Amino acid sequence: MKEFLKTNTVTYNLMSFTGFKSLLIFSLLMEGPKSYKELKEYISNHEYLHENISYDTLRIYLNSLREIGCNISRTTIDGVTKYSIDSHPFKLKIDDKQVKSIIKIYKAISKTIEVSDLIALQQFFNKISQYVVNDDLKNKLKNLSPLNNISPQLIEELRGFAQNNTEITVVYNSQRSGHKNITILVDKLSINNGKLYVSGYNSEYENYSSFLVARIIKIVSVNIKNRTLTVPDLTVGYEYKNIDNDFDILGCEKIIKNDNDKLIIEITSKNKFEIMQRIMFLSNKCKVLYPESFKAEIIENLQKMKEGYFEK
Amino acid sequence: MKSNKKLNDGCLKIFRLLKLLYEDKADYSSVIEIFKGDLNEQSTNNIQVVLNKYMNALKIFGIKVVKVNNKYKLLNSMYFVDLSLEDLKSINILANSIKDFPDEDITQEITELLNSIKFRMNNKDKNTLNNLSNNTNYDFKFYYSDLKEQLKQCKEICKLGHIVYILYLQNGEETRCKCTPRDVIYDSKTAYLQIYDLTSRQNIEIPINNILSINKLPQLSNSIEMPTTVVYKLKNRLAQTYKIKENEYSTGHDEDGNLIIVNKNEPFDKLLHRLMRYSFNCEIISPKYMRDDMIKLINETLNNYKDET
Repeated sequence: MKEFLKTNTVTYNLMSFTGFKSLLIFSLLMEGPKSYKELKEYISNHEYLHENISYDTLRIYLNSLREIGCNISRTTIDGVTKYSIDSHPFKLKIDDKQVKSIIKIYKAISKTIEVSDLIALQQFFNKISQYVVNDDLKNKLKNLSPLNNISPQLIEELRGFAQNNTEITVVYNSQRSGHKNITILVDKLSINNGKLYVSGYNSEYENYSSFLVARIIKIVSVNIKNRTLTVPDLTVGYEYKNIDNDFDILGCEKIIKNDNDKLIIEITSKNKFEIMQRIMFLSNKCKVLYPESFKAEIIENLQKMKEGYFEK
Repeated sequence: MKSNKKLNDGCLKIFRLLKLLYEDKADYSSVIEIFKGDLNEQSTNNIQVVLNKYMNALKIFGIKVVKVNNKYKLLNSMYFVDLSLEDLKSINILANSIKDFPDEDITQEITELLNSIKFRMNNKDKNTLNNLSNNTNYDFKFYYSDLKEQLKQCKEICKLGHIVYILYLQNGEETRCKCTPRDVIYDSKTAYLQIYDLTSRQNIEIPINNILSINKLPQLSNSIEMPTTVVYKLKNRLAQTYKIKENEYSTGHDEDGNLIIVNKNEPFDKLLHRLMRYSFNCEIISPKYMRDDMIKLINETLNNYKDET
């Protein structure tokens, strides 16, 4: 070995040429499809080998690689057959415990990281899922992120539109009415209930609405004129009985008063529906304090719910 | 049946050696076994000479191997995983997230996974990852970091597989249940012990800091559990737009156009609050006690406004 380091020449006494050629053929086939001719030429021109190798010998090397567990595929185009390694025993293997740990840590951090990091993680999970041994967990890892099956490019574009409050028209696959054009003055992207939504002023309904990003087929036009989002913010104050110390504050909320087991919270959003859902979710632990009109709507909703259980 | 395929002995040997190295099982005696085959009558010295030739072939090819305590260890991979900048960012996020995570098992599993990926990285990617790690400052705070000991105990009790009595605080009141502990799960603010309540036949997630005591019973838990399924219907627009969850299936629409959903395994308390979000567009059909629980929840919420109506 010392001699090699000094002179950079190899001899039969120094190393196994067969072993070296095996490694070389493996790595060439890992790079991409190669024909026997290409492999032969590479070995013949290699600085340590300079060896003329027959097709029969190459075939034996390939058989040996298969024997140790390599999956070698062959494709013939224009009469030339090429070989490549599709899988091999040295590839990364992600076991059940590792996948379950990733799923747990993702659930612990996913609400506190930026959308751009969520996009990165989604792509990463997609990539590494090929190394997951268990098929069920492979699917769980692929579908873990709320951004699953949404084009990262679309998300990036929508983020840009949200920053500049740009008006766009999209083709939207409405579950109710099929494909249709929707024009939105984009306000924000948010994840609710494990799904990604784009929210903004919708000129068709003349209100502030949220749309599932997964249902956007494509963006058909972008209005480059500056528009101002004129929808006013709605602020709702409510009291929360924090008996179990379990209050999970949202980004759009702030604590106005903390009186031991009673919190006074203000939630602000342009989307009334979003606030309504939040208040309904907190249900018996929560009481709306203001504005009166919103409080009345909540009470009406609850009464309608109750009636639904007792009618007929 | 013996295959007639001609094989190259040197090729098989070097990859068997690599297999041991990749699996971190290349202790000297196992490595020597690979090269013994045809050299039965030769001395150990001769086997060592042959082994050295193969080791040199690896080194000259660029694969670094060291011998530590009679065991060979691989320092770099013979191939590299193709990673994008986004992938490296993700590796950095995961590495940062486990720095202060209180669950040692999760930390260890993810560390091992990240190490096996880093091992298959080329030098350029390794440098980029180092730069990312030096220049980004993720501050993952886990509110349950101080519950390390309780988390450990809960994980232990799950592994034992015994039926237990748990005393915990629910809405400020002490609640006792006989259950099978299943797993410890986390969200950004709370760590929960996931249990199967044997009386109500439902899954419950108890915040670990609300647990007052756990008493192990001698009986082992039955692996066959029959959790209660909850059936509810969705009305109006929601019946057309609802996306069925992983733990649900639909039996279709009824004669009024309502969508019928069958829900399994979702903790009842969580389910009730989720369904509250759907307001009058949702109605629980069965079991009757869940329907009654929902009515109770609506009444309790309305009671908060009793002075206003």
